[in-house]
Amino acid sequence: MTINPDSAIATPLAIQGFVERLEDWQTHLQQQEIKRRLRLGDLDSPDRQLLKDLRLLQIESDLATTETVGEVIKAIKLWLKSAPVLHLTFSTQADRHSQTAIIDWLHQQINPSVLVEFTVDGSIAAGFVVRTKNHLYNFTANEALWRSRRKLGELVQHV
Amino acid sequence: MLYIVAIAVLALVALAGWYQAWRAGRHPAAVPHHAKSPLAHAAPAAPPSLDLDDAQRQAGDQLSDSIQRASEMFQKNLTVQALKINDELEGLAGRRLRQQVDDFNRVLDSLTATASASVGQLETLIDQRRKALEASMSTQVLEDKQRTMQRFYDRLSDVVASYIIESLGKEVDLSGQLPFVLKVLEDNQDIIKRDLLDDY
Repeated sequence: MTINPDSAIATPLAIQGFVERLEDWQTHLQQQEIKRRLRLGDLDSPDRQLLKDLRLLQIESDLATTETVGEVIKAIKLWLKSAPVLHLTFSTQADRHSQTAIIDWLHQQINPSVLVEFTVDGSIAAGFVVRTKNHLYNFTANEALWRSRRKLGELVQHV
Repeated sequence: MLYIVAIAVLALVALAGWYQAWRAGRHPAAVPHHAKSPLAHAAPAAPPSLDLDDAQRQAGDQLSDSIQRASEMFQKNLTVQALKINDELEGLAGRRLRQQVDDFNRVLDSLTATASASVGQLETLIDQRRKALEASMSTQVLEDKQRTMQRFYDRLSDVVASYIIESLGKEVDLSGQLPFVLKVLEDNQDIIKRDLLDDY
């Protein structure tokens, strides 16, 4: 099953948070179903936010029964294990607008299933670091300065 | 040697005087052969009278004079010889002294030359060692300087980066970098795509 998450939820942390909420909902449904069998009450409808987030993952389900919720959880976890994740590290926390712009670009140019993890490293002066599963690409000002250290030294000598 | 000769001469003179006096006293004056005649032989004449005391006195005087003269001569010779000996001794001592001084000077010159040569060799060795040390130290200092400069240049990027971080602080708006980020991602799109989707 391929999942194409919306930019609003296309981070591993957000997906994991969503899965935890689904699991909570599944537990709640199990309790509801026991009550219904005992004729103590009807099943509750799923939370609107839960359904809204499910739509962000472009998954069609009503999340009305434990079985359907269980299927969704299983599908998401399975997909999450192999989902392409791109790690981006900045000097400070990326704002929401920048995160959305970057994710949208990645979904359009790379793959709509790409997840992006944003992290912070205070030693970065400017720029960012890109890390995939096997590679690391340093596009920081630190790296640029290091590459041009000889020219930097010459500049210092002429000061 | 001269003393011995002088003493021998004096002894001979004294002996001769004593012998003459003794002979005059024991044998009266001899009669010459031509005065002897058969008549005389037949009738012996009376012997001439001899004054022994006078002869002894004369001999004593002569001996005394001789001794006096010999003594004076001996005294004179002794003075002359003493002066000569003194001169000889002085000359000998002077020559010995000069020779010793010359030997001493020669030895001293030799020692001075040897010492000078040793000092010269030592100075040469010290100079060579100093030059070698200077060259070694110069090379070492140059290498240290180059290493230090290299370390400085290697760390210069960190210094500048730290300066930028300190200057900008934590209030950096990343939206300003967004065009740069997207440009970099676009430039490296193929690599990123390959890395991300190879196992997907």
